[in-house]
Amino acid sequence: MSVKKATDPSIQVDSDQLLEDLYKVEYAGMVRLAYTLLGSNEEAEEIVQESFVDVYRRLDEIKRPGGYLRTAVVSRCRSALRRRRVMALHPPEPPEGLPSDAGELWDVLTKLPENQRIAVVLRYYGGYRASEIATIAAIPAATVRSHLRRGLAVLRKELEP
Amino acid sequence: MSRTTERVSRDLGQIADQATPSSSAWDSIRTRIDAQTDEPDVHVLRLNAEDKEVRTRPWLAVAAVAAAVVSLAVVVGVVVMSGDEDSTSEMATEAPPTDPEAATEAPATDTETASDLELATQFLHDLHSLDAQAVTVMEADAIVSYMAARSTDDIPGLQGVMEARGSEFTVENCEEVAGRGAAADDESTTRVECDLTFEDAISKAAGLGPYPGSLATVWIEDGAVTLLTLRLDFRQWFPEVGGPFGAWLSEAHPEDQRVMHGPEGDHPAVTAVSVALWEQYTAEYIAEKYG
Repeated sequence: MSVKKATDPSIQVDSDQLLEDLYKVEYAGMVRLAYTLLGSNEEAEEIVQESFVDVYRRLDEIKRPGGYLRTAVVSRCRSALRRRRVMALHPPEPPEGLPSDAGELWDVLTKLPENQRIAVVLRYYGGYRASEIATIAAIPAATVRSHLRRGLAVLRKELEP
Repeated sequence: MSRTTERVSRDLGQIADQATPSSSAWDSIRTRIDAQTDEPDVHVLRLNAEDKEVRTRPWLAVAAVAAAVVSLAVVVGVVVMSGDEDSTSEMATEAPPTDPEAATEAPATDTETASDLELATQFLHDLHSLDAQAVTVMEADAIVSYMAARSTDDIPGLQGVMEARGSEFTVENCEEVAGRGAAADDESTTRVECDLTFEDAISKAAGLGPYPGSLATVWIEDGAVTLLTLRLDFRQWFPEVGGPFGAWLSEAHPEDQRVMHGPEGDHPAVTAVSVALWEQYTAEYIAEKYG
């Protein structure tokens, strides 16, 4: 078991225990969040697990491991979405068994620019405020609000009868 | 909450419920951690754009953090890929002004006419012109939360260590990766990614490097840099340069090595004595091994 120093050198932190606690609280939720962005369980788990490794490696420097984890997951999801766009791959099909309304949302969501998609998912699935999304996604808050406004306008246009 | 947002929330929840988090994920994470224990760090530095200091003096704050840690010391030849044209243009082949005031003011003028791509490359190029005096002006704690410095007081020392080791990052190539002018959407934020190569006095003496793999991402909104992320990759450099030097140091000067690395042993100490030792032993090592 390793022990690392916290930012305050007078405080000793059991880094393994801290990470395990973080895992118990955050892992499943982070996988669901990543899945909602990517539509792939395998890719979502890969990203979240690598993000936990990121957290572990920086535990002695970061002040809020949970916040760092969320930022790492969203950042990796953004990279994955960007790779898909660059490679001109088609987004994955909606999962089987999804209610038709959710499938319809999925189709529209996958057509949104990646930052709009991230903002919409964090706001309406994650329940985060714009200022929190700004921190998680490393985007200025004003830009987050703009992404939400534009993303929601598209969703409204496509989903409302 | 409107009808649309209610539906979006409900449907997103249904999509998320399709995820099936693995019950053995903890073992997988532990395996990944164990496999990476011996690898050197990859540093990610993030500057929070919402920070007051950043809003009021973005150039100074962003540049100060990065200059302190990476010391983009001698950037000679920043090659800018111009969109989908094959041609390249070379810019910033001369050292920028050494006056910190001039260095922080100059980009603001450039902002009016330069493209985001040019703005980002010029920004990275200007980092090295900031000296310790300018660095100490920075006061925002939030922007150092991800770096090795324990406080802003450490920043000049870190920069001193980098200089003592002859560390240099060179911007090799910049590319606009998203946002205005580069993507189908009309986002107001532009991201410019720049590949960095790294070398130091020892690697140059040994004929090794420069080492690729590091990446700077400059975020630009309305003509101003709002965020900088640096991913510094020393994984190839460490076994070839950093590791052997550390081994030599522990043999030849074990007491001084403890002074150079500080009490935790994982980052360079940032005292004046440490900086002097880094400079002295880097030169001694090069003379002994490659002189």
